[in-house]
Amino acid sequence: MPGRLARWIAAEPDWDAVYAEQLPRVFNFFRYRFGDTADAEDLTSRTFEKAWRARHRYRRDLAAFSTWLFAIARNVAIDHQRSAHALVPLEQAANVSAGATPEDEASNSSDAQRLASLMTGLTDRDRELLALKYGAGMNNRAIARATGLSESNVGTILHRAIEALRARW
Amino acid sequence: MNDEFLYTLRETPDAAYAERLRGRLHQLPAESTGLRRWPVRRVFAGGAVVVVVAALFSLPSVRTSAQSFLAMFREVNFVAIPVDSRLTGITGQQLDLTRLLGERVQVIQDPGTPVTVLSVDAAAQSAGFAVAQPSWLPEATTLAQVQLQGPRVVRVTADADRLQEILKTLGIRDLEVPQEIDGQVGFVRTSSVVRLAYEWRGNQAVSIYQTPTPNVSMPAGIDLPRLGEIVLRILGLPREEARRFANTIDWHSTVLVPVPPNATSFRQVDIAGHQGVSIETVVPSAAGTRRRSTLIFWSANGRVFAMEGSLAPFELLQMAKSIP
Repeated sequence: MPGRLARWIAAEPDWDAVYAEQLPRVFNFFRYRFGDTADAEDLTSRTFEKAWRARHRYRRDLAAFSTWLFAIARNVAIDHQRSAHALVPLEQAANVSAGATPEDEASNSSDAQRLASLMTGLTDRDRELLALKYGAGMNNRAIARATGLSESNVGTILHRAIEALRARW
Repeated sequence: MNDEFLYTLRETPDAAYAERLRGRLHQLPAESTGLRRWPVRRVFAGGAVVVVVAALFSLPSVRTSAQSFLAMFREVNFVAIPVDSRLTGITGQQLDLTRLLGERVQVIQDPGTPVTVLSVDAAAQSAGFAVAQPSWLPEATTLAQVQLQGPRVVRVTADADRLQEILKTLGIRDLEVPQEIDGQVGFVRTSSVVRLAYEWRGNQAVSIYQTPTPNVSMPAGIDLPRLGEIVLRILGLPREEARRFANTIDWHSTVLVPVPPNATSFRQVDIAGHQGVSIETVVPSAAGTRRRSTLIFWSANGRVFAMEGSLAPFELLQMAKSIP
């Protein structure tokens, strides 16, 4: 491998610039994914801390930095979802299932709260794609690369999810 | 397609939060290659690593294991050794050294069940040692309970025939258990154990166990490298590696931490200059689901610590490193 190319691959990104650019995207990805601000901050912190610690593993010749960062964010989301499910006591789970529907909860809240509440009625996959699209600001092609779905499949899933939300909005 | 309403959830991160996180990131060290998944070979590469095989603990019952661990080991460095899956088949889920090295175990002093005390100070007063607390906690994490368990003294009488039987069952036919260990008596004396239980948003998230260095006494003349080699073979190490390892370490000041096959990863970690071991695993929860759990063991300033929690491993490490 030519020396210049090797140096380019090994060179670290400009972390301050990356942080300023990516923080709102990661933060909003988690807001769309889970809807709660405190969770979003916590999960965003975890994502950046993981990325920062593992920064020597990033290979710019293999993926764009945002692709690498969102792979970490998606893993953090999966871990959070697993632990959140596992940590909910059964009695709380019962309360959740007996509670109001997303539409009921949405009726008297702000637009943001309404949307977050309505999104809880979607599947995990739909929520993730919406989070990548509207939270992280990715286009369908980038979402397809990140998730392993085809671009047309991403478009179809998003279209249906948006229509479902619009119907309840 | 009109999707403007879908942007209503977007928000700019709080500036103070962004600044705090940026500052924290700059203080975090990059993960070294030593923090990656730890190849078993590394265990043997370092001649300085030392092991005292005093107990095996069971990851499926994590809390019990941590307490058992504290009850059995002395202050030392920690080395992780993957356990051969055949071993769990023989001993069941609850791995127990006493079932391997000798079934004749007598509890001279029973620690009783753990009791909840009102405060860390009260625990320290009853336990007779200063209880260390982490100076850093993850956001929304709070100390929820302090528990204390009394001192314990256990007498173990070795059983050479039992050990030989296990070797035979595992198909290890080139090692003979020295008959001179048969009937030999050892003592394990443990001080009180304090457990600090932390909650994250109302849910049990982390437990930190600590106790002064337990004391392990064995009869003079025990051939520790030979006994260690036997145990390493039982744990699944190849013959040559077990022999080399057994003869290069100081068996008086190292803890072997067996890593069962269900562990997802393990690695050596540095806790403020002290060598420890972190093991990640997935355990069944009471609700029938599976949850990730991380165990960290280390020793510092005359005390041994065990931490178990469901938070992110890097958060647990940061907590551990903040314990003075």
